[in-house]
Amino acid sequence: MGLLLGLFVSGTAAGTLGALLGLGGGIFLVPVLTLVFGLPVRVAVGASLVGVIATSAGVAVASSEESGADVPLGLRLEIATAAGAVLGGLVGAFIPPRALSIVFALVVFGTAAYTLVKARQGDGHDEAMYRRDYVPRRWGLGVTVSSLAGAVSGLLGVGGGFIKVPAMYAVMGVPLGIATATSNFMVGITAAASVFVYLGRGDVRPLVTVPTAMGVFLGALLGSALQARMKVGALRVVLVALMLAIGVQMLWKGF
Amino acid sequence: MSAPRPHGAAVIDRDMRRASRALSLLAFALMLLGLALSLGGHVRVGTPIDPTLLDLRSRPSRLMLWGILLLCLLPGVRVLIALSHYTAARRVGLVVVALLVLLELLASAVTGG
Repeated sequence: MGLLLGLFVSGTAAGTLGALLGLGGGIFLVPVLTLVFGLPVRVAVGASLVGVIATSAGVAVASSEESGADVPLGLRLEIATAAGAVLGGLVGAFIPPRALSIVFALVVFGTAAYTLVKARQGDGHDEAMYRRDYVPRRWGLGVTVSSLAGAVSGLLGVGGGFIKVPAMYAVMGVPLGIATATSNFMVGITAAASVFVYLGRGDVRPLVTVPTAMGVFLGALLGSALQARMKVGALRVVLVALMLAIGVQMLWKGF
Repeated sequence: MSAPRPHGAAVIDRDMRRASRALSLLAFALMLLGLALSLGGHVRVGTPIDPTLLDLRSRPSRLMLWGILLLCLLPGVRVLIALSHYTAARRVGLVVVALLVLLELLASAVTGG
C-alpha cells in the first residue's frame, strides 16, 4: 500500500514539475523510479512511457490544431519517429542497465540545456512564433533527427521534445511555437509505438505502471494549471539545477 | 435561432473526439478497478510488494493491463482524428467504430462480463 501511494505521489510530482517546464514527466520519473524505488531501468522506462501516453491522452481532447500544431508535418515526421521509437525499444533490451543510466544522464543534461535556451527564446505567444507562412525545408535532415528523437524516446521513456523542437525550428525552419505544439502532438504517438515492445517483453508491470501513470496524468494537469497562473522564471532555475543533480546521480549509478 | 448543424469533416472530427474520450475513460476505469481490487484483497495491506514478482495471471493485474493497452491505443485514435480532419473520409470513422467494438469485446472477455 505504501509503495503504491509512493509511486502515485512520485508520478504526480514528476508530472507537475515536467509540465511547469513544458516537458513530459519522464525526465524526472525514470530517475525517481530507479534511484528511489530501486526498480530496474527498463521497468521504469515502461511505466514512464505509459505516463507519457496518459498525459497525451488527457490533452488530446482539445483539437491539435487549436494548440497551433502543424498536423500534416507531425504525421509525416511521425513515420520516422515511430520507427525510431520501436528500434530504440528493441535495442534497449541489449544495452546493460548501467550504460542506459549513463545515456539517460546525457539526455538529462541535454534537456536542461534545451530548457534554458528555450527560456531565453521566450515563453510568450508572439505572433512570430505561430506565423503560418513557412514552408518546411531540409526534410532529409529533419526526418533523420526525428527518428533519432524517437529512438531516444523508446530507449529512455522520455518525450524527446528537446531533440524534435530544435530540429523543426533550426533545421526545417518551422516557427518555435508551432514546432513545440507539433512535438507535443507527436509525443503520445511515439510513446505508443515503443511501449508495445516493453509490453511484449513484460517490462510494463501493472502494479507499478498504473499508480505512476495516474499520478503523472494528474500532475500534468496540475502543472499546466499552475504554469498558466504563476511566473516560472525563478522556479525554472531551481528545476534545471534539480535536473543537473539527477543527471549526476544517474551518471554515478552508471559508473 | 439554433446553431448551424456541423457537417462533413466537422462531424467526423467531433465523433472521433468523442470516441477518444470514451476510450480514455474506459482505460482509466479499468486501471482503477484493477488497482482497487488489488488493494481490496489480492495485495495484503501493510505487506511490502515486490513489483517484479507480480503475478500477471490474477484478475486485477489483467484488468490493469487491459486498461494500459486501451490507453496505448489512444494515440492511434488521435492520428485518425487528424487524418479524418484532412481527408473527411467516412471509412476512417467506420474503422474507429469497429476498433471500439472489438476492444469492448476483448475487455468483456478479460473481465468475464
